Amino acid sequence: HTAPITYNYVSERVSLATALQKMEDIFHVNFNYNSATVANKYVYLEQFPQQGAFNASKIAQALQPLGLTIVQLGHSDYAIQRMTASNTITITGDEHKIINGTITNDKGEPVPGALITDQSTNKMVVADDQGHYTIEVNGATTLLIHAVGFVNKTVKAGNSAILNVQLSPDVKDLSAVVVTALGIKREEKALGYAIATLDGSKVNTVKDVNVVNSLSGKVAGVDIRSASSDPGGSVLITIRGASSIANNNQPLFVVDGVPVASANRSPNVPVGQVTVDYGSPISDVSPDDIASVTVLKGASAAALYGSRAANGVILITTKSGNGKNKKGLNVSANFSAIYDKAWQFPDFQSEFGAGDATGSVDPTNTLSTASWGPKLNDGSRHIQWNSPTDANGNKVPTDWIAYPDRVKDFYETGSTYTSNVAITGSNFRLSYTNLQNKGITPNTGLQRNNINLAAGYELSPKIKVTTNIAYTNNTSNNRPTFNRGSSGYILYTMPANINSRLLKDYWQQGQEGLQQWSQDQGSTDNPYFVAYQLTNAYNRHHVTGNVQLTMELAKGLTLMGRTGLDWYTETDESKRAVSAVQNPYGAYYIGNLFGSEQNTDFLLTYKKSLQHDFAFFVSVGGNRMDQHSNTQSQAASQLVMPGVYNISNAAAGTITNASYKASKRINSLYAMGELSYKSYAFLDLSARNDWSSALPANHNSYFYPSASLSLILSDMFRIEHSALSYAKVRLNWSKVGRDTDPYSLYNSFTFSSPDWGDVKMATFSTTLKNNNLKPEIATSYEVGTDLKFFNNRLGIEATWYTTDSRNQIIQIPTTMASGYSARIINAGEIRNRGWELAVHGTPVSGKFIWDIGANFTRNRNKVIALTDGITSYLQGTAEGMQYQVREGESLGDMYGNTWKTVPAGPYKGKELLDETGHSQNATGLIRIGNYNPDFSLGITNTFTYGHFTLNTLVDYRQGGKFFSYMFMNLLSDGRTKNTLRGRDLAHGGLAWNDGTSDRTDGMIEDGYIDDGNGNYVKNTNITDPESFYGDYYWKMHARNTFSATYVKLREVSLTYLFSKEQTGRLPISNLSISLIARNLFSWTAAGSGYDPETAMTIKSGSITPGTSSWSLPYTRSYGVKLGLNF
Amino acid sequence: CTKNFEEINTDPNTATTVNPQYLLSTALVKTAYPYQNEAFLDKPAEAARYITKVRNEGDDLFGWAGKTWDGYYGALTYNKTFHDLAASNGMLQYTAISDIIKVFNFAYITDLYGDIPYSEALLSKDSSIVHPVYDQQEDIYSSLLATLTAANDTLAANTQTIDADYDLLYGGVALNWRKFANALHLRLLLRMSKKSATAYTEMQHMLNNPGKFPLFESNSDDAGLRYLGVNAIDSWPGGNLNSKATEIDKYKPSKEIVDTLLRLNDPRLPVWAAPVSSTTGYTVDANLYVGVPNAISSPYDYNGGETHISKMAPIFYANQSDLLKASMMTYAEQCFILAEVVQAGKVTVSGETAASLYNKGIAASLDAYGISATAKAAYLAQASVQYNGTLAQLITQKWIANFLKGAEGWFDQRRTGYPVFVTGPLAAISEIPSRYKYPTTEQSYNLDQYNAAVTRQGADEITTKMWYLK
Repeated sequence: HTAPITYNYVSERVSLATALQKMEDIFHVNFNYNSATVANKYVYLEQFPQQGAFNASKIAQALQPLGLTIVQLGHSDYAIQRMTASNTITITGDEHKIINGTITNDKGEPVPGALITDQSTNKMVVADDQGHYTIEVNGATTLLIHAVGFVNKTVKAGNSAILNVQLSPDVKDLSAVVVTALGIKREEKALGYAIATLDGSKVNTVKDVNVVNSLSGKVAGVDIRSASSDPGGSVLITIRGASSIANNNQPLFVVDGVPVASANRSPNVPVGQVTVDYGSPISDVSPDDIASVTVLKGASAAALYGSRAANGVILITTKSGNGKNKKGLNVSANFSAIYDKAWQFPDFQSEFGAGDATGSVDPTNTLSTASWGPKLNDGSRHIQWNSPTDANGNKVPTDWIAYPDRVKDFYETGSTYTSNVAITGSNFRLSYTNLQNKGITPNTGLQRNNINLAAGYELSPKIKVTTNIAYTNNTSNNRPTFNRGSSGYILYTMPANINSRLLKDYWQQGQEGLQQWSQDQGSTDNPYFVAYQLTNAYNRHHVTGNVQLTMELAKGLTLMGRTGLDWYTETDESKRAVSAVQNPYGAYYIGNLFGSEQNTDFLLTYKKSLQHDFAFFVSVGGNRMDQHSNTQSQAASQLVMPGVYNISNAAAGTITNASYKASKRINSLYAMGELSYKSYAFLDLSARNDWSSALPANHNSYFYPSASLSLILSDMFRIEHSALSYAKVRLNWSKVGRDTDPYSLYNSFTFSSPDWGDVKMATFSTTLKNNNLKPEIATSYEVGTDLKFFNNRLGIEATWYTTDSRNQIIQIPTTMASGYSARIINAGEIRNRGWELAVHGTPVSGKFIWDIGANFTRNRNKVIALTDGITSYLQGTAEGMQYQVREGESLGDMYGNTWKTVPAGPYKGKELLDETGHSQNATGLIRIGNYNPDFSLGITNTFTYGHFTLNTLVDYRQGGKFFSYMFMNLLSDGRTKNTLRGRDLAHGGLAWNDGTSDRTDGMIEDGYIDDGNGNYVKNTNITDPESFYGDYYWKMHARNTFSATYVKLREVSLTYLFSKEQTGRLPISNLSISLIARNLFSWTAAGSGYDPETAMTIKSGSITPGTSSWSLPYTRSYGVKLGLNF
Repeated sequence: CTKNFEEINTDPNTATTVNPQYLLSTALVKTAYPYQNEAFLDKPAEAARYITKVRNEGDDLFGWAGKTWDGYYGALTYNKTFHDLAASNGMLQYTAISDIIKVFNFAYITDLYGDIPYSEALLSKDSSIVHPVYDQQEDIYSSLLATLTAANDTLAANTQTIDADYDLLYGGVALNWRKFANALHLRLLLRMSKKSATAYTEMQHMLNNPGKFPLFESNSDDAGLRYLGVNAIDSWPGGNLNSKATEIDKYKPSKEIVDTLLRLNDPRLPVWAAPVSSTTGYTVDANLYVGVPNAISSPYDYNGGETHISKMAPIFYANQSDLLKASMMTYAEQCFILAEVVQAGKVTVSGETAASLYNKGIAASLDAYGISATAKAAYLAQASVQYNGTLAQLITQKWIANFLKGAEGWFDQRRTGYPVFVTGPLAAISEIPSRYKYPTTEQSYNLDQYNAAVTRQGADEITTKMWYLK
């Protein structure tokens, strides 16, 4: 029914105004219309005549579906009007019988502009904007109902004067256009692999500081974990599971066709003790500038991006100008405010204060950092941290009172204000975003200013230049800190008798600027001192940009040339005030980082339709990537003058210098092509060859191909059934090669810094490098189907995939006795296999609309092989937990200590205690769990009623384990409620004598003891709580490991969109206001206070999921967003 | 497509070769500091009853898991590279020094574990050997002794200058290195004397030829690397640049050492330990200095808790102290080695008796800690200190002198049984351990060789006796 269209480059979907403007240009006519009439209406240009004489009825035909019609006013003057009964064009014919009726869609809504043809006379009428039509026919005939976007329908016109017709949507014609590799727009149906696209509104309604966080729960196959609840923190993403043992498994980010800096910076310990997470440079992309986000999963979809795409690609397309013919400027503005509130804390106990034992023989021993001390709030007085001293210099006991809010009091309400203004003209878009963030930790936050310019110019109809330039300045006076020494660590480990509010004045009186005043003078920093005087600032200038030239060389032959740059420079500055516990004389760190990546590429494309329903296109291209990085830092571990933060103020000999430069180049040539048949069968082939400077000369060239097939079964077999509207099958096979870091081939010498006095020390890596490395190869297969039912009201996308990563370039550990701790070799094979399922449907439609979408992800990882002689590989450790990679097991397996068990007899398997009744570790480490979930499910619901839209996102992750070092630590020092048991008689303590005194805090560890005669008897030895919790929990990783299952109501937004009528004479449109919330509700299998999602160890050089160390409390956020156009 | 690739992939940050002396400093620092670190903060300090850890007291309980040896072999890797660079430049003064450092490290490893990779060790780069065989201790010892003899001879004959700045131990004085080699030679001979028929004759041969085998003559000959106290890498492990005070607070002087020093009125006690902060409210020990027994329940509560227990003396909390070096071997130890073999009647030393050597050893130690001449004389004059001809007394004094120096106190105890230690009620085994268990990683990375060694030497337990202890 329609002429074959080119499937590869679908003609442009433009606003109606643009199309009309084009008509005016071509035919030298003039259209008169009210802008409200054409607003928000879109058409395909090909629907309109492009040449020849001006034909108003052809335009009328195109306008019909929109409920519009064209009326001639003068010689070349026309009006575009809403269709009404009065202006309906009646096509002449015999007058015998009049039929009336209404044309509706599958939801019962009117279809304006449907074309009704009497097949016997070819007489045509058009339905009005209520879907009503009237036609005069000659007796019994057949009417053909045609409307764009619907399946043609023929109905017999009988004797009835009323004939209502319901049309089914034509799913095929609504085929979505998606941005794929290299920025090529293609019809989704032609793709032989799974792709996920999110509209910009999905990431900028409930805005996140880091746009990557907004993808959480929205895309099947994508696992997103925030390193902490701080909005500016790092985010870890894995797509279809971790495939590489040694690499970071993070996907490649591509903004407007140009790769940008990798997602994550390594956390750093600049000087002193605390760990700083500087966040991800990808967060410099402002959500307000995003038009769409496309996720290319796994190696298959990404074969054309080369090495770094092996972990998938996240393509971000930013907004651009309105289009060539749109006159005037469109100004849009929006503002959002989000407030973060620290929400989940561990269950701290506030019944017992500082001390080493409740029944301590020394009642004055109440200055300990442990919380095993005397009962609080019982009217007693004890010597404590802020006891005054008497005339003799002895500390005076003071009231022994609990401060249950000691932790909560410290945290503030965090806020993030985002303001965005964008000016859009016909060929440019200029946008400015300002973000002001204040963290929940006092004196932390970040500011961001972002300017984004997209512009395009047509040098001639055949030559087009476009450019995107973004500049972002990201600064923070102080980042929140993690791990030991951080304010969170200090607060969490503070006994209950300390009032944290008193610590706000953190200088000792009379010694301001010289000596801090702390709850544990000389040993632990005051948390406020940490927040205000141990600061970690950064300032990053980040520029990304590209210039692209597209030329049509001949009919069907286009050439694209592009160069893109990602460039950033960052200064990190850390200050440590004098009297800091780790740096009593103060310290200072300043570091400069520079990174750049330039990609220059070309793509030559030829497309052609052939006879017999075949069409093809073929592209060849090339790319050169140059990466440079350069870092320098200086750290002074002691300062001379307090408060002077300049490197020249370093104490003599205490400066540590570091500098590093690295460069890498990859040259690539690639070709891709598609052959399509009758627009229902599509075969894609691609091939790429890379040459990497980082690999040895004899192995630096590597080739990888891919092939995919897409079949639209519903078209092939002409299925026209109301239940099954669309069926597609896709198949894909591909390979991706991967190189390595620069300078991995030969060992060489460096000098360690600082020097030993004035003596240099040469050093070298104990990893033996390898000048015979080969590239890694990942091979993947993917099978999937897309199904649509009941006229598109239910859609299902299912994908099964498997990816094998071979020849991994890993540092295989060797015994240090061999002289080197590891050697870099090619080894190992990791398989990821999984299911992705996305379902979307519209259960209720009408005035009230309910849309639901769900995505399901299940990935299984298996270590197929390591290398000869190695069956286990230590990938890393965190807080004593080992991440071992063992053959036959999975990446992410955690190994830790567990308890011995009774080997035989009636109590076999019960815990075996030592002779004195204490827990003992079993020999060796056991597999305690894997941090990856069994599956994850994201569910989005959208309810629309009138002006209101309610949107919710539920994120559910089932399975996986996490080890909580924090839980273990808090427990072992008596800081949480679960350590109350046994403290005194009231808490179930037993009366006992510890050898010197009578106590009432006796406990018995649960287990059995070898009685020496080969029998096992129940333990009856009494011990004190500290030993009990220390033995029973502290020794055993297994007892501090929890299920990572959680359900979170991650996003809720309620939007009210004002209509034009409501805004009336105000010069604004699209006014909307949203109430938004994040993490309104959270259920975790592990219980409150221990968030499995941010269970991470943030330490120098790495962020390790699965083991929670000292982090920030989980937060809940509320806010409001206001958006409008001028 | 690969034009300029070699240039791009040439590391601008590093050098392909360096002058050997830059690795002499590295090898020394990487050997001496970790050795001292372990002596203070790790298992040898508890096994020798110098230290009781009052929290996280795992090491005190002798539930010792496999212990990594990466640090020792790491030092050996630097040392081997130092040796190879020196050899390729014909710098025999450095190859000899490198050999002495090599023997020091390998001896320490085999003393800790027994059979260890030796002949095939450190050859990953040269020969791609990543599964080195474990050699028998007997064979390792004979090779080490031969290496020391050769190094002593090489240095005697060599006239090439040692860079004084980079010789952090002896400022470029070859004679001192020879003294160190020979003193170390004596230490190893004594260690294996129970098993080796030739140990005493070899010792006698050395003592008969002092010109050829110069020995330590005073404390100034000690092999000890000073601390600068400027940066963490050059500071004492207990100072704030390396440790938190709260961490060092967990390390208390053991009851065994404190009680011994109290019994002997030893003037070194206040140098090493701090008096209790409160003399009232104690429960079991009324002394001004109170050590904590090892492997008891709730050691932090001992004697009424924190304020009734001695801390380590302030020098152990400092980044640098003139009294503390990273001590590899001392003149005092050499005196005690000789006193023991003379006392046993196995060896004679010209002009010396067991008593004179014993007294010299004590005096050297007292001098090293700045004890005044009067206090020294008073101490030596005490009946309890005066030489009585028993091995128990001699080893006890050697044990005191070796306070937190290497693992010597522990090694002597396991060899002689002196001093007699209490294992403690919570100890997992009823004796002082005899060795470290092999690193757990060996079972992952070198399993076959590990298994062969365990089959030959005995179960990989801390109670298993190595060759020279059998």
